[in-house]
Amino acid sequence: MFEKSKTSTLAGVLALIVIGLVVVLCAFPWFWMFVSSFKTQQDIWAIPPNLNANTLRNYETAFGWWLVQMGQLMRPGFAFYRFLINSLTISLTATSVTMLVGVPAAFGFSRFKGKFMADNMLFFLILTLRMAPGFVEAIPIYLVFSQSILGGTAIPVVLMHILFTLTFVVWLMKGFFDEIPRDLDDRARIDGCSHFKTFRLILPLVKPGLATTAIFSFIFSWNEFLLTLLLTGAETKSLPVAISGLVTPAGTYWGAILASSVIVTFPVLVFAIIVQKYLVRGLTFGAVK
Amino acid sequence: MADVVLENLTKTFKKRIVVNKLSLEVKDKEFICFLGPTGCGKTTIFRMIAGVETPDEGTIYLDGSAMNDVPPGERNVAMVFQSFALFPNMTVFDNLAFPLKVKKTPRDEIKKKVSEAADVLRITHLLDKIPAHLSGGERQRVALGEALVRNPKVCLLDEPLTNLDAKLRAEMRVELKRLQRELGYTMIYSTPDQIEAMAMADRIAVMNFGRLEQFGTSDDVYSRPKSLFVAGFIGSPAMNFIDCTFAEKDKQAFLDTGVFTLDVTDLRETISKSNGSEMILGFRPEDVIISKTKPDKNAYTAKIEVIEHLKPDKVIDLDVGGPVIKALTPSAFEATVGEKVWFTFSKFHIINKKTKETIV
Repeated sequence: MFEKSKTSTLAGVLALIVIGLVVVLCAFPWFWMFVSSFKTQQDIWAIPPNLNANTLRNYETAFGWWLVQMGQLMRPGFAFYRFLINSLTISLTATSVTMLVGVPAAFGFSRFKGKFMADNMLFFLILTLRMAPGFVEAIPIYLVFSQSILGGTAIPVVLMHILFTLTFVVWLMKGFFDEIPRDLDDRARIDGCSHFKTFRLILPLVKPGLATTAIFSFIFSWNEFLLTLLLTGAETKSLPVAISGLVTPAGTYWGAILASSVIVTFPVLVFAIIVQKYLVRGLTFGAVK
Repeated sequence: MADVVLENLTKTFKKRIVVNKLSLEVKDKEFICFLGPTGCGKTTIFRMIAGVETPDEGTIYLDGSAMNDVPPGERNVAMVFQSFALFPNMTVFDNLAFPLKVKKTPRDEIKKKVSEAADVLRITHLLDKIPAHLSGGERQRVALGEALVRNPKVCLLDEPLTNLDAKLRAEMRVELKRLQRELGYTMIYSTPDQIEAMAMADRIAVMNFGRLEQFGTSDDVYSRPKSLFVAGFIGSPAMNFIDCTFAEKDKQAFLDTGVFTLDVTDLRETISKSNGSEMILGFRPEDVIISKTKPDKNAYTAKIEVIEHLKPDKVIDLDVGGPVIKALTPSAFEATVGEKVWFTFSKFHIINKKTKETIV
C-alpha cells in the first residue's frame, strides 16, 4: 500500500512538472507581451530583461499612429476604434451567418442521411472547403472581388471567413446532433411537431456544441490574417492587419505593436475562459464514440 | 380507439429487406403483440404505423382510412419508445404536457389532462422533477403518460419494459394490461420476450426477419405453431427437435430418427401430401413423460445427462443415443445423473425440413 502511494505521488509530481512546462511555454509569450506593452522602448530590449512595466506611452502611440496613418486629424483614439469595429463586424457577421447556415445543415446531415440526393457528396464537399490552404484560393479570390462592386466593402472577407468556418461548424455540429437519440425526434414528430419545430426542440440539447463552434468560428475570423489582408482596404481592415501596418520601412513600432496585440488578443482570452468547460467538452466529444 | 390494417407492408434499407410483405388486421380495443428476435423489423413497422418512416410498398389503414400520406402528427397515434424518449431539459409536467402544447390546447385543459394521467399512473409526486432524477420505472410511467394524455386512437409500445429489471417488468406488465382494459385503447406492443407476449396479448404476431410467421392467440402459437421458427421460439424451455426420415412400408408409416422409430400410420395421408421425406420431429419438454419402468407401447430408452433444478420444476437432459432432448418434470420427480429411463411424449409436431412448415 505504501509502495503504491509512493509511485502515484511520484507520477503526480512528474505530471505536474510536465504540465507546468507546457503551460509556461504556451502562456509565456502572451505574458511577456502583456508586461512589455507597458515598458519603454529601452526596457523592452534591455539585457538582462527587467520588469519595468510603468508607462502607458505605447498605448498612446498605438492610437496616435493610426491617427497619422489615416492622414487625417481625428479625435485621439478614433482610428483604433475604427479597426476594432471592423474586426468586430467581420467576425460577428461571419460567425452568425456560419452558425445560421451550418447548424441547420448539420442537423439535416445528421437526421436525413440517405433521404436526399447526393447527401454524401454534399457533406464531403463541405469538408473539402477546408482542405486546400487558404493561400491557394487567395489570388483568384482577390482578382474576382477586387473588380466587382463589392471591392471596397468587407463583404468578400466575411464570405471567405464563412466558407472556411462552415466546414468546422457542420462537421462538429453533425457529431453533436448524432449524439442525441433519434427517438426524441420521432417522438416530437409523432406528437405533432413540424420538422422545424423538432429542430428547435433539439437545439437546447446541443448547447455545448453550439458554444464551442461559435467560439471557434469567432476566434478564427478574429485572428485571420492572410485573406483579410488581401481583401480589405484602408477603410475596412481588421485589427491584425492594421497591426501589421506598424512594421514600416521607416522602422518597427514595437511598443505600439505590443500594446495593440494585447488589446486584440484580450477578447479571445476572455471568451476562452468563459466557455472553457464547454470547449473541453466540445473538443473531446467527437473523440469518444 | 380504432382498428389498424396493414396491407403488404414492405421496407428495404440498402438492399436489405427489413419488412417483407406484412399484412395483418388489428381489431378495435385489441391488445396485439409483435413477437420476434431483435432486428426482425418490429421497430420499423411501428415507425411506419406512426408515420416517421415511409413504407416502400403497401398501405396502412387506421380506422378505415389510408394513412400513407398523412404526416405523423395528424395520425393520432401515440408511441412509447424503448428508450423512453423524454426531453432531458424539461420537467415531468412539461414532458407530459408537450403533445397538448403542440396542439395548442388551452392551459387549464392541459393542467387537467396532465393531472388525470399522472393520477392514473401514480406519478403526481414527480411532476416537478426532471427525467435525470427519476428511476427507470418512473421514467417508463412518464413515457406512458405522454401517450395517455393525448387520448390516441392507437397506442404503440416499442419494447417499453426491456430496460427495466425483472421484478419491475412483471409489475408493469400487469399494470399495462389493466390500463388497456380500463381505458379501452387499441394497443400494439412489441417484445422479444415470448413469456411477455403470451402473458399480455390477445393475439400474437410472430415475426422473423421481417416476415410474419404466424398471427394468432397465445394458444394458437403454442399448440398449433405454423412453422419451425414459431415452434422453436414459443415455449420455455424450447421445443425439442429431432431430424427424421419419413418412410412407408406396406400399409404402415414410420418416422425414423436414427435412434428410434415413431409409428405414424394414422397420419400417413397428411404427411405424404407434403413434399419430400426429410422431416423434423418436434415435441415440447413439458409433453415428455419419463418413467423408470418400461411402459407398454411406444417408449424409448434414454440416459439422464444433466438435471437442472428450476423450482418448481426440473429440466432433465436426456441422451437418446445421439441427440439430447430436454424434459420438464415436477421437482418431486426423483432422478439421478446416469440413470437409464424410458420416455415418451404425449404430443408432437411434424415439420417439413425443407419448407419449414408444420404439417401436423
